Amino acid sequence: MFEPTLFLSGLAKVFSLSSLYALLIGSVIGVIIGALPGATATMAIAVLIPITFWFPPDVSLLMLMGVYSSGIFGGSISAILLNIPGTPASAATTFDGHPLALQGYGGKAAFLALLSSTIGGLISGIALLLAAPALAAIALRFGPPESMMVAIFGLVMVASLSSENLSKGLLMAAFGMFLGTIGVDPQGGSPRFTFGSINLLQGLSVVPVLIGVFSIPEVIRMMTSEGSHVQVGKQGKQHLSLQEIKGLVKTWGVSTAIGMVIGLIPAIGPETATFMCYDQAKRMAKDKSKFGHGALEGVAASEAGNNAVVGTSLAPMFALGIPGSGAAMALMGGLLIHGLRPGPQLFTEQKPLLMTLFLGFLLAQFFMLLVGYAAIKIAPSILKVRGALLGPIIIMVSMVGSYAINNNIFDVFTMLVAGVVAHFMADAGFSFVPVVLGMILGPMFEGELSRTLTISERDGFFVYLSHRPIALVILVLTIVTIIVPFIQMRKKQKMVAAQATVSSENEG
Amino acid sequence: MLKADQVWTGIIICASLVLFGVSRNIISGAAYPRAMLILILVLAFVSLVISVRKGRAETRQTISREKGNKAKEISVLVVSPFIYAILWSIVGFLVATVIFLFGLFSYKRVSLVKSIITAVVAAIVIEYIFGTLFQVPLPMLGWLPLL
Repeated sequence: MFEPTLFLSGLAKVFSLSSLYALLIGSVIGVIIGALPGATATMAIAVLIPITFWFPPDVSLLMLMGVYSSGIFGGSISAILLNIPGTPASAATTFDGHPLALQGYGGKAAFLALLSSTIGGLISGIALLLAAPALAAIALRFGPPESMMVAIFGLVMVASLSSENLSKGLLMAAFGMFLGTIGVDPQGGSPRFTFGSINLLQGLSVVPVLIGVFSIPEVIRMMTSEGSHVQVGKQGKQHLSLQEIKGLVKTWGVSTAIGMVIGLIPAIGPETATFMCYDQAKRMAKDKSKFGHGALEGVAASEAGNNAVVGTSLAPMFALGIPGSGAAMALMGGLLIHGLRPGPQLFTEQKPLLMTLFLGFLLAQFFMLLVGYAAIKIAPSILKVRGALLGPIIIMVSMVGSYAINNNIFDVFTMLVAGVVAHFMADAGFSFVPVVLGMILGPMFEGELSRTLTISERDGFFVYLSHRPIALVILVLTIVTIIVPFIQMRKKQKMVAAQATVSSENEG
Repeated sequence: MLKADQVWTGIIICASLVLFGVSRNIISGAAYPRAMLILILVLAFVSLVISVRKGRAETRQTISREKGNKAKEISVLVVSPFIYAILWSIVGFLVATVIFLFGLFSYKRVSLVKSIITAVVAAIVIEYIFGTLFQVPLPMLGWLPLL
């Protein structure tokens, strides 16, 4: 793929005025859309496709890639400042991004998110440029058992991160997976738990639940406290020091690697990557207690990971016609509308176009950096707005965003009910974040489980699984993730009991 | 006295048992959701046992007392969006939004002029972004033209 003459002609094309203009517009739209709860990058791409039909294919696709890339970053702005992720991929950014904003480091957190997103996107883009067909070949190694195991691993990880104890987290994840079964059985076609409702036949939409889970509790908190939207600490230094940047290099590297692998697996997407990267960053950290209270590594990991997904998700999409995420699927629509069929022939017949697109993707990261920097200069001023003014507007935007998914008022009520229940359950130590991921991964898990059982019917499930080393490794990682917190808890209890015995002996 | 998490776990257990009964009416594809419900029941019981053994009733009661002071405010914030959503189909998005925003701003004692201007501007801006730019068919006017 990397031929010098092709590279130079691609470079010339990507730096043409029309291409630069397309990337700029795409980046601006992406950042704005990403920051709005309910307005996802996938939606923006889907809406723009008919508009870009009139443009040449390369210009049109560059604009869409700009939207995709910047849209994933844009979600971090509202995640950090409002504790409401603009996109599902930024959910983990709220864990440490918002506490940083509350401590007066909102600008710093937003800049870190931008820098991390750019780094993740750049490295992923370089991999795409140099090795797209090879990446696609790796994607083919992930069959039904591997995808199934990744789904379970992602859920267990989120469950361990989100709740005060693992059993509550797993309970909520299982509840989310159950909610994902509402609708029509994908294999047999019969309705499940619809109670005769036409709305429930389509199943529960994930995005309204996500919006409700984050926005309603946050608005209630915002409007029941006095004064400014947040009790922001005195504004601290908003720039990253060289020492802080050095300390984040390992986090960026590992998170980008995880995000790139996740991007290759169809249907997993940046929503799972963000949690996996966050969990890994927490495991690697020397001081784990800072996580959840404003750890820079938390923001860096989730944002580098979710943007790293973007580049590699395009590799199987271009090479095999298998999109690695929902937004990549929408982007594939952009290819098809211009008469370009994804697949191996694209790499032989449309090499100049592909080179332009891959180089354009890299350039899109720099546009995201520029546009994002302008956005984060303006955005923190929202922290000064009174909660009494901001809260109702957030509810209104969240409701409209939920409605916009399917143009159905039922989604608005879904969002409100999910939000209210999440607010009251939060006091009891139940987090709804595993529910959201359960709803995303549950249907995928069910489908892959069904396919795995069908494929393994002759040999038996466990015999078949024993011949899938990747699936086995992921299964072992999942078991370790479940057992380790339990062992740590028992150790802690023994230490506390031992200390109590020593103190009572000393007193005696 | 039961703790909040024990109450919620109890609700989850009861709901799971009811849904398990409902699953008998499913013609195909019932095995997977039933497996999820069984998993939910097992995890709920584990969670309940852990909660009972932990016994942090005093801490939880303190938290509920503080929440009680804000119960009225929370009730308004919980109920008003539902009314707003219903209003969409009666008077249309724009009018319903202005009423909703103005109502909450007034409830929180924002000045009259600021409330009206912010409500109207916010409604128009969001209608433009979603209705015009994104082509989302927001409900307009509802049944008002029939009067």
